[in-house]
Amino acid sequence: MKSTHLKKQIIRHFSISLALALFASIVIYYRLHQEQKSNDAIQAIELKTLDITNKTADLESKIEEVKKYKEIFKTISENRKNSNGIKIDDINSKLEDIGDRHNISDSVIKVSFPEPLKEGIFNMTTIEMVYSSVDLSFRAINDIEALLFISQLTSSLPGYVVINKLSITKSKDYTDADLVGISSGQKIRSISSQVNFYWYVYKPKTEKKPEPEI
Amino acid sequence: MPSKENFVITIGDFGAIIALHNGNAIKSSAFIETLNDESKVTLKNLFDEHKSTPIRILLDNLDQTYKNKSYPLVSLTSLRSIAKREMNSDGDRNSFKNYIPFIPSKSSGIKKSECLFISISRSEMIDEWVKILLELPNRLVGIYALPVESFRLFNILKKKITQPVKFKSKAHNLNCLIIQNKIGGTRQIVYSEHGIVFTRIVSYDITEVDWLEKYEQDIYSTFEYLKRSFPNINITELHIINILSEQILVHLRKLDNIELKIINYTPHQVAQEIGYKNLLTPDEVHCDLLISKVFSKEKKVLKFTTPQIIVLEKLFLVLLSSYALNGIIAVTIFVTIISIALFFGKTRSLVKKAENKKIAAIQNMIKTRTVASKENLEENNKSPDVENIIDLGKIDEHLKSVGKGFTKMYSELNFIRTYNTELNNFVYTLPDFTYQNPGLLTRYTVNIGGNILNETGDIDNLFKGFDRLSNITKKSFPNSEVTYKEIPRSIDFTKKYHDYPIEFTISGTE
Repeated sequence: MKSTHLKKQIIRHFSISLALALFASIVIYYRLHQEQKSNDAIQAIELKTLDITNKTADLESKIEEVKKYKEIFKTISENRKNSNGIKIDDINSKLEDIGDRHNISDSVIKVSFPEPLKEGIFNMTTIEMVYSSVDLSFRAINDIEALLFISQLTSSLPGYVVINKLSITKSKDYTDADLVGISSGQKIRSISSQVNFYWYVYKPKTEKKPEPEI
Repeated sequence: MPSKENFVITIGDFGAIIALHNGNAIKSSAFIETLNDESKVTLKNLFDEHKSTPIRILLDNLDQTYKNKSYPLVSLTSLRSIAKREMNSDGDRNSFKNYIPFIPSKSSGIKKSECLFISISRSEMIDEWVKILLELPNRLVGIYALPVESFRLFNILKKKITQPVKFKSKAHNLNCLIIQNKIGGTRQIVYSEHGIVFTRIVSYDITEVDWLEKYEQDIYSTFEYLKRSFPNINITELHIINILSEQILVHLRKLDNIELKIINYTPHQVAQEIGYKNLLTPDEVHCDLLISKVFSKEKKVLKFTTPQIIVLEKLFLVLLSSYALNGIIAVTIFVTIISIALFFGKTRSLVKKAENKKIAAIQNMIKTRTVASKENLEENNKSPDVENIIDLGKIDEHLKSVGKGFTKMYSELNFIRTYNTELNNFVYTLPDFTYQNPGLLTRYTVNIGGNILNETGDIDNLFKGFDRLSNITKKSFPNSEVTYKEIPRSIDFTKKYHDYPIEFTISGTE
């Protein structure tokens, strides 16, 4: 075999090697590119599926929420749904009326200026909530009358009343003379009570008007 | 790529035999007496049909020198370097030269290394053959010496022959093979168990009356020559194996010499014995093709080369590496293509699986939306009524029951009266309640104060009464934490207590 012939063969074979290597590179690149492309496609589908699943789960939880609140809504009294806000005149008349029924004396009530609540659960879309802090003190014949008074007064108020602090103190035992005095209409009271409660009432939502451009 | 086929060109002083070997068979063979234009055409035609078949030259010419040299016991590497140095210092630059080193095993007790230097003269005919073969497209692998390579034939034959004489000499294990070739004539080759020791061309003319005596004389003179290297050798220890034609063997069988241990074979018999059943015809008189066949199949002993062949060998190695490289790249491409095909299948399946999951999710969403629309609720669009229901429901959930437990608590404390206790203070508070953000669970605290009555004035009854009261209070509010102020141990035991102030705190969650 001639060395020139062998050299030609070597050159030819290494040229083929080069061509094959080039082709191999293209094939490997194509393989990797396709893999990346397929992974991206699958990932896109999976992301879309995840998005749909999340939205469905969100919707399902909202459905459950709506169902739950629909059931709760059915049990809410009209008095609680009242959306006329806090009216001080109402509470004064009710205080007098219910107080008379339960022989309440020396009742003093302090109601703070109603303030709107907009954070947390009070951040509502259809309605607003206002609240007042109320301090009430009074004297009663006995503890039962005192409790009935508090209970009936708070139940009669529109919206929600949350009693934050309540104290009932008996100052003395009635003597026979006290009982005679009570029966004759004297305002002898051994029970003194102090109540602090929060009064929440709905108010129609006021749309915030955009400020006029200058 | 190299095939199983290979050419062996046996060149002797009387011509050359070209044999194309394939497995156990010789596909074709040709005898060329002299290289002339006509024979060159024959050669060209033969090799043109088998361009990729490698060629080996087997030399059986007269002028071959075998010179054994002894050295002190050294390592094989050292012996090789000594031999190379000695060979290079030799003035004869034209001959084919090589050496066979021999290092005795430690157990043999031999205290010297040996090296057999072989030199084959390059005749014009051999050079012309090498030149022609180098011009061919076929690969010329190398040049080999027939007497050296026939050792393989001898070894195979030695294993097959069991009768009448086993190949075990007492001391030297020397055997003399006598073969007759068409291209080189009759040759004596002496082998030890390691390889060739000595060879020479002999000439017998069976037409002469005294040729048998000449045969005996040749053996004795060979024996005398061997005695120089192996002084203790006995003629009876030298086995003589004749591979000669039946015509010669007929005469040899008549030889009546009890000293000579002779085994006779025809070339056909040897071919039969060593497994090449169809290689030679029974009337074959020469060993050329038999030796050529054994050489083509067996491991080669010693290669002779020329600078041109060395260059070609190196280039051939490069060519082989290019084949290997191409093969590796081709396999890589093939594997990658297969993996692409498999990958596409797998990807299709994965995409389909992902699509199915997506479809299932969409179907589930459609169902949920249907339910939502029944509830007047869309994904991002609630009807005003629904919004109002949610707003009012949430507030009711948080505020409905908080701060309402005081009447129940107060009524549950009614039992106190039956434990000789007078309640004169009740305080109900929601310590954690924040009006801006009321929680679902609100903790309450009830403080009660009063007097425990002890009508007997006995201090023991006061303690017993208080214990009963504290126990019943705890039992009455099992889900709440009840704490109270104990009657102090430092109480004045000499005093009569008709009542004693008490203070309880009950904490829990509404």
